[in-house]
Amino acid sequence: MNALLRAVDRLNQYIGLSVCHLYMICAVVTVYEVAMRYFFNSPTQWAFEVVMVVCGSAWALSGSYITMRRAHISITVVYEHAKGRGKWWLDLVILLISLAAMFTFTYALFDPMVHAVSSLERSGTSFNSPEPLILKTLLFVGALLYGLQLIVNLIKHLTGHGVPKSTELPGD
Amino acid sequence: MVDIQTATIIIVASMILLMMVGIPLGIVTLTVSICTALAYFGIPGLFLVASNAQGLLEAYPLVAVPLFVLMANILERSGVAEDLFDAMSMIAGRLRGGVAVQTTLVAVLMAAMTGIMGGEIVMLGLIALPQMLRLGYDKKLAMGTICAGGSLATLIPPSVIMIIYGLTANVSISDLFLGGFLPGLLLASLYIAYIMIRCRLQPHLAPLPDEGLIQLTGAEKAAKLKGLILPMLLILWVLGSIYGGIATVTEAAAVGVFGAIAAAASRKRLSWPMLQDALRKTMITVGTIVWLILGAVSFVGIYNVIGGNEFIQGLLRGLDIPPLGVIFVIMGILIVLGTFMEWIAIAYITVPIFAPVIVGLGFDPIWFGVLFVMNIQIYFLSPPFGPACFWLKSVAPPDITLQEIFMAVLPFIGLQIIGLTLVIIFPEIVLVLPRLLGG
Repeated sequence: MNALLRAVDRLNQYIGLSVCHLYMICAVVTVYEVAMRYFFNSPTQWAFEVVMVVCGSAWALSGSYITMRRAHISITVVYEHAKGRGKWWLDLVILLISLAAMFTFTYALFDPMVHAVSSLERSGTSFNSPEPLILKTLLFVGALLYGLQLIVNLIKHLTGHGVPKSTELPGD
Repeated sequence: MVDIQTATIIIVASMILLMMVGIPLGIVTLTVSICTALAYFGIPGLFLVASNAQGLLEAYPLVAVPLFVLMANILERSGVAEDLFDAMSMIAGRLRGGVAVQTTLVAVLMAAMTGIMGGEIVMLGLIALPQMLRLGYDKKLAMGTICAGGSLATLIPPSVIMIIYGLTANVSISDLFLGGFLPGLLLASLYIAYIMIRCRLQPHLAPLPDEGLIQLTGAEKAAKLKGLILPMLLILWVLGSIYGGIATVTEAAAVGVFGAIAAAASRKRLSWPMLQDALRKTMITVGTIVWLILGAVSFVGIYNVIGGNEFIQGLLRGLDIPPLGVIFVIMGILIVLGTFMEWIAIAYITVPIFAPVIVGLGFDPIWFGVLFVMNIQIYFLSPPFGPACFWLKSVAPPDITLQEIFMAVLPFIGLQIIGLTLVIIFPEIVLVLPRLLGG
């Protein structure tokens, strides 16, 4: 059991720390496009959709890492004043509602994804990549991993190994 | 089914309840949108939730957000800010309260390089605060200057908040950037005037350095001026590529990432671990924003479908007050929301509802966008949750309490309100640049 929990943690850690490099790729491709268009007068057909897919992947797949670190943006006024048992119950409520929402969301994303995959949905531009298909699949996977991490957090919470809320400042 | 008025009340009440428990805001809005969709349309309603969320991943202007955040994270680690602060000390040596004035000027230049406030306040807190405290400056004056100066990042282009506003209100982001420029300088001038007047009236607030006022030699000045070169180049590089017609806002952000990398390299601070760290921090910041927005867009979509937008717009239009009164009502709503909600959620939920009303009343949406940002800026400083104060607290000496910081920013909130009033009375402050230079 513990090995399984650790495996999910490690998977999401690995995914989170990997996808952050996609933002660099995003910057490189975008600058390449600007240079090609402005200096060589030959804009690429593919940069726009590649950037959307690369960036969208990073967005969709970073949710689970943030959930593991408990770094999502929330209002902590009441939470910070709760002590001991009260905090434990608050955490439980937060986890259960998050789980319910995330699993319904994952379920909601499933049919549109299957539809996009089976019909090989494409962007319809001149490059005509399967961008919508990829993004819909990634969002589904991202939500699924998010939900999976919530289950792990819940089990840890119930067995007394809960993760404290991250104090890392959310950005702005 | 209940009528839209009752539904709105139930939705708002449950949202506040869920938020107060401490549930992540993205989950709060997602939960409410799922429940609303199920209540109105049953299982097929979930399709609406999914398609709203999926649409978000194709919003190209949103790509600018991770790129600007990455640029700021790299700059933060490049040491450019220290050089800049040192360069501006030319001014500081020559007048009473000089270091506070210097801090404000550095804040303006930093704001023109980056579009996010958190990093800027942390940087100023690390560089300028120790300097002012060492010289015996009044703590409140020092901290207020840093929080107010740092929050200029939201108003002076580039600005992440304006990107979000532009996306939700469907107006040109590059025009919004232009619109924020003069109001940003106006606020900075108000801060500087306030600092100088107070230091003139109460000299003990800002003691002069022991060695007295310093006269620099020409060579010393030239050496210090070097610190200005990189920031100026970066500002020209990013804003120039937008307004020179070379790049879109998103592309300019990518160009800025490379500018920041070059700046870090020229200061020999560039390394793989440093870049790695900047990327990881960017992923966390942007991930929290995107998963919050995912919930918010799902909610906004559903609320619109059940007639919510029309209902609120009808309420606002039905008010028996002059058009400017409506603006004040809207700003009042924003202030109330600001006391318990995150600005990203506020922007995503309120702008699609308010923007059409504003346009219908004959106001310019660019002007309202700048007002919106100025309101958010006030919220950034205001107790009880003003994030600017929390950021400064995270890097301030441990004996400084949060209460002290909140007290310190009060006069500056007053100045922001003066600035806001001026922009309301003279919309030209916002509109003149977009008209002259905009698309």
